[in-house]
Amino acid sequence: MATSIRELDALERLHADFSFTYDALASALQTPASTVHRWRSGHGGAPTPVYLHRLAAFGTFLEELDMLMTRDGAVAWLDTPLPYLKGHTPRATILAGHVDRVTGILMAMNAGMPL
Amino acid sequence: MTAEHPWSPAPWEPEPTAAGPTSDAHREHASERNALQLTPLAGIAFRVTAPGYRDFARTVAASCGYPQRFNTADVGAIYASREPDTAAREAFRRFARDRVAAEQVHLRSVFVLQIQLQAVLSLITETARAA
Repeated sequence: MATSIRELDALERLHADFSFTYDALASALQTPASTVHRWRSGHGGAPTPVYLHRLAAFGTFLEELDMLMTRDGAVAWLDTPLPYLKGHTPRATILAGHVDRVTGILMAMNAGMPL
Repeated sequence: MTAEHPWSPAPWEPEPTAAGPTSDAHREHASERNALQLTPLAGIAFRVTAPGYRDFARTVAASCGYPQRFNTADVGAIYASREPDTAAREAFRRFARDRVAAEQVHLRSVFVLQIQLQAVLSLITETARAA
């Protein structure tokens, strides 16, 4: 059951549309899985500003991803090793806590920045 | 898409400096301008972007957040090409580098910018890059 905290919408979408597990996302957010489950249940308090900021970064990533390509394209792309990420996939990079790096790649494509 | 586009010098001249035409400062400035090929420019340029990036403020903020070849985090940039083909090729080059299947990309917008620049720094020559 999702709470009404807007920033948590990104977690729900990452899980539902792109098969990220909540436990893995908790790890990427550097918080215990139990905390994420508590946020989602709506019991025990909302995320602190530090975590709201990290959750917002997921939202920005999804916004850029949606702007760039279809959902099917995104599903495939998330698991594609990228030379720019030293052979890591966008998914692995996000789960390692570096969603901003992936967002930067998307943003550069969306904003028409040259190589 | 290989159209010719009118690129012509702007009608204005560079701002006169306080120093006289024979002063050391003037000569130094003139020499620097010559080496760097600072020239005014007026015409049109092209961007191929997501429609959401028609907004310049958003584009500049993105360039600061994720600096590219020609800008730093504290100097925003709007990247544009003098030919529409070039802008499109740049977009496709980036898709290819980052392994994005072009057929999965949402429609892009081609924005035409009307520009009037008082000075353009051309980095085409080695001399200019060294200066």
